Amino acid sequence: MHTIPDFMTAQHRHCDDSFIAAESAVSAKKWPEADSQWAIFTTDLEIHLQQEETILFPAFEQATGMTMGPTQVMRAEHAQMRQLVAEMTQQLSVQNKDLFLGLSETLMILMQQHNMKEEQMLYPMTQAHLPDADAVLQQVKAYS
Amino acid sequence: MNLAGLDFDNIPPFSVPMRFFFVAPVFAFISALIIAVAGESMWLTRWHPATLAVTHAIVLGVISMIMCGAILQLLPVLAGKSLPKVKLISTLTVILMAAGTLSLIRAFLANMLVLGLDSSNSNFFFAVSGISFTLGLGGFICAILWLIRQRSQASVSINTMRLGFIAMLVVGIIASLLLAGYLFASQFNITKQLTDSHASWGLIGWISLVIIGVSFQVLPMFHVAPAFPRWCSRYLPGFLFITLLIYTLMTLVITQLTVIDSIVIESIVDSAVWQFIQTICIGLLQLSLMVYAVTAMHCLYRRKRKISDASVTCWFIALTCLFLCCAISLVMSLVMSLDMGLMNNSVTSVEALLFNLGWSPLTLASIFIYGWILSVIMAMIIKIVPFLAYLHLQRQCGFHLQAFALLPNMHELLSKSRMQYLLYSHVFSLFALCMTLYSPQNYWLLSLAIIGQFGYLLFLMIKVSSRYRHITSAIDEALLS
Repeated sequence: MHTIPDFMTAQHRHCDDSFIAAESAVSAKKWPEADSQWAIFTTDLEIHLQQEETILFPAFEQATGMTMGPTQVMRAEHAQMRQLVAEMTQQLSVQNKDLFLGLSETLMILMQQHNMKEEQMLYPMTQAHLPDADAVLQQVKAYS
Repeated sequence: MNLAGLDFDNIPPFSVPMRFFFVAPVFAFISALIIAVAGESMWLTRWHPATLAVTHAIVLGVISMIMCGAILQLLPVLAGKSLPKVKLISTLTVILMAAGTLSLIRAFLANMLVLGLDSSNSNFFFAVSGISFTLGLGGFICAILWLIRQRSQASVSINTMRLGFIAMLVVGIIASLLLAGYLFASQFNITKQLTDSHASWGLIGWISLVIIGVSFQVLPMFHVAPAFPRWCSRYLPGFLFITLLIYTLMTLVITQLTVIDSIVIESIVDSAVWQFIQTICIGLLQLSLMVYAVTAMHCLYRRKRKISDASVTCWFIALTCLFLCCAISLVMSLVMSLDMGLMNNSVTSVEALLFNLGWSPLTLASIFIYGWILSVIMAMIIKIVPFLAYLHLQRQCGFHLQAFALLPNMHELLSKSRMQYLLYSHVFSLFALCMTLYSPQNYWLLSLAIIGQFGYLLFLMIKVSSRYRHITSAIDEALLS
């Protein structure tokens, strides 16, 4: 976990774990378990998104001068994810299994294609372009 | 690391991949029609005009068509790149590929008396197909290769897909040689042996390498499976590509030895050596694909996301068919080599036995295409189509809350039960294919099964598209209000 790509990618995988645990629990109608796993997922996801929006992306923008480029698209996709998460929280609260699973399938693909772009391109580029990548990584780790 | 040209936002409009996807079932229907008209005879040999026509209709008209549409959509995600003037380029590619495939089918069918076609102009149709594919598919692949010309350390998927795209160009070059051999028989000395290289580069190089490249990314991410081991994702694709290359070079050497009367080369190395190297290459290709199939199944089996999913079933069917095709082919090659070494006179009886058991190059190629490749195509398309519709609708909403309320989720665009029915219809087609290969009189069942499967796929795509159009107008109204 000594580089930005390694640390951030591990966070993606960590979020995946609680996401699929919640999805499986909903599928089996184990609502209390679904609630607790969903709470873990939404908290971890929000922290991860904020780490990117408040530390990583500004550092990338400052280092490259690209303020309206890839980071802007990533921010827009974060908004799309947050909107889906809010809808899923609503469906979980009324224990609507079918709607929750329809939305979870959608969020899964939306989230994974977003992760692909970050893991394949944005994180390696951030690591390569930041003059103080280690210091930025420490800031990200300290954020919670 | 170069930032220039990094473009996450510019995903092609919904209509761009869909135009490729909508044309594909038409070629499946044409294949079913040819199977129905040709009857039992086309299952006796791979050289039958109808067999060649159906193979090219499925591989080019259905599989390559869908792959090109999907590649256009995947590039912005995997490489952060998209083609300029994508609507124009995609329309031209679809038209040229469709025209090329139709011409090729017509040219192959010219020699089928039962159809009553004029056989004198088959050369013309071969030439038209050659030009269409060079401009259409060749141009498309060159444009994509230009886009991803920079080698990426991070993306094993793009690096593998790049090898697949280069393989497509090799397919085209060998096809041109075969075509030249056919059109100008007196000037060129190209034998039918090159056809095996043409098929290998097409099925293993172009289609399988692109699928393998996509699987490195898609299987771990969408099914939360462990990543492919590094030796597999980094070195296996290159190994497959180089082995294919050596195999083709050996074929060229053997072909030229027999036709040029080259005493010099023959005196240096016995032709049996070239044939031995060629056999080793075939064995290595089969082994490599088996290793990939087992590794991919192992990754998929260890996936964390165990929720029921038709596309996972499609992947398991695909990988099982890939493994069986290669394993049977490898075992049979070994049996035949051993037999040739020990008792030459019993080769014919072994071949007869294998043929009676239903094993032939035609059987293996058929299962490879329908069982391995088309199963993956089905796995991908049931995910891609509803997701793209959703993605474009969501972008259209912007940050308008009233518009967001109109957004359907993926299951509302394409329900799980319908995905399951499509899977059943695919499995039934595969079963009908096996029945026909074992007993060709069942050809009518296969013809009906293909019409059923692709008719249903077309119906599902029309439903998603019409729902998409309907919701697009509703969102427009909401945004204006």
